[in-house]
Amino acid sequence: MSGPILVTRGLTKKYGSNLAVEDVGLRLEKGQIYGLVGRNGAGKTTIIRMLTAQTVPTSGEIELFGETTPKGLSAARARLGAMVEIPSFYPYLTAAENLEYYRRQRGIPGAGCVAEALERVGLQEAGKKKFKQFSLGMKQRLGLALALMNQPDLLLLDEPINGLDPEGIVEFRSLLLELNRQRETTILISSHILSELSNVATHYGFLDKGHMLEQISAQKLREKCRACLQLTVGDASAAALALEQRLETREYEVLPGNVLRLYDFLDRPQAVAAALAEAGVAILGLESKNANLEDYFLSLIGGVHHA
Amino acid sequence: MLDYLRAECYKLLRRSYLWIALLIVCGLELALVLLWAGLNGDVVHMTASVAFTMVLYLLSMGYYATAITTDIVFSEQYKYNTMKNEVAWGLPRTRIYLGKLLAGSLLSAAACVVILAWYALLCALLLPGDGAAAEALRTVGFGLLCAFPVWLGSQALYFLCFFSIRGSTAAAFLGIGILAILGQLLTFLALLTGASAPALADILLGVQKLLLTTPLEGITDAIGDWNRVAWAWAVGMGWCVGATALGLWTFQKKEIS
Repeated sequence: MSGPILVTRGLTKKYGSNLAVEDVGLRLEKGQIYGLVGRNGAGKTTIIRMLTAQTVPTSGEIELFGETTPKGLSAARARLGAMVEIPSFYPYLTAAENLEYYRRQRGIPGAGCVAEALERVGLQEAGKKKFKQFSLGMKQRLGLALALMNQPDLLLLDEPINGLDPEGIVEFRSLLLELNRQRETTILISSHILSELSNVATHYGFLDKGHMLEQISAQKLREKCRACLQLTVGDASAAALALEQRLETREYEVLPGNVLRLYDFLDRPQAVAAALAEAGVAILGLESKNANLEDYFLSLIGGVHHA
Repeated sequence: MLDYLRAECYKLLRRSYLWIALLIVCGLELALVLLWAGLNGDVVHMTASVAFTMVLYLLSMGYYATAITTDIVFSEQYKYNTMKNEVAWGLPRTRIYLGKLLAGSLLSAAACVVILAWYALLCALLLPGDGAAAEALRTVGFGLLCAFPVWLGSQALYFLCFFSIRGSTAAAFLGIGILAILGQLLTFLALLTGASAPALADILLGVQKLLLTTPLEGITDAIGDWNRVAWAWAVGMGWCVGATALGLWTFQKKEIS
């Protein structure tokens, strides 16, 4: 299949008068790792809950593996692996029994896939332990094992690293990257731990108050967040000429509003200022910029919040 | 659906709740039969067939036993938030609902067979025979023929409550309340309005005949009455279909957390 794996159009969810998600359009192509970024309550979980049929959208359309009808979507969801909020299982069953129950329910052939899934998430020793004895980190791992058991083409993960210890986070990241590279598994991952997201995501969607603010590829985001000297000048063309002739650099870009971003001479701003002054270019502003994903997100939502 | 039922059976057989409940009931049966065997003498003369026909007086226990089997099958899905694992994978909600109802009904039927077979065995082994075993089996069989559809109706009613209400205890109490109190409430209202509004009292008593508990009232006097069987099946199936339709409708819209 060459089309997109997942598309949402105008996805909206209202709870009474509260608009949890409004007019969200997502598009995931095969092999992408899509990071859904937003503060608590931004609508990340609601979107994933709509994708996994846990809640019915108020309006809008979901297209999954090309299917849009309720019956088609239901069948398409069999190709999903999902971990939504804190993983939940029957406390009186062991980890292996819980997975076996779902394997039978889903008609997944081969009982060996249970042991395989447990091994994949590092729970091979805990298979006979009852779920009620699990720590939060172990619950997260078991949730991931369930999500992986049917070898999904699309993984939906909602805050998956909550409760994982540092070693678990590294293992989890490696596992996601391995799945993505070896099986071309498409992954939608929501998180408010942006530093972790930036280690895996190939694309981002920034959500705030139920609205999609921006969707951007990791490459474009890196370009946007690249360390630079940002100059606001009287004449951008003259400034560009001065940079090329006097500082012999072409590592810059001209932005609207007579703004230049210079990716060279980062440690010598005074030399840049001198070159422009000598060329008679008025410098209205000069600042050093070095944004990361968090800064970028905060600038998008317009201020410091708890992301 | 077959996969769903297989999975439910796998889970059910691993629940100690099921085995403990069965052990308690079987233990109580043993205690009862031992008590009769111990008391048998000049004053008390309890034979195997008479003891076995006592089942007729206990048929109404099925209304409450189905609450237990529903609880065992439903497994507090809302409390443990496990329902999301099923819907997220694309299992149609209709299949989930009907699968659990079917699993609950099968469990109830299997438990009924075990409990009755154990009781019959105890009666045969520990109490004296009187040559009326075949008649006792026919009598109890007729009672079961009336009881089965209304038990099925109560099972469907409990599943409606369990699927619609988040707390299992509250759901069970609501189901028991509908079964146990509604009939008495209608009788009370009919008595209250009988003098001043006899037409209303007749309507209330007419409605009472449609309740799940009514077909088993005075069942010992209705053995061999096929009209009673037809009435029990009509009421039981009516409740089963109605409660299931309502349950499916509400479950389709339910937010799963």
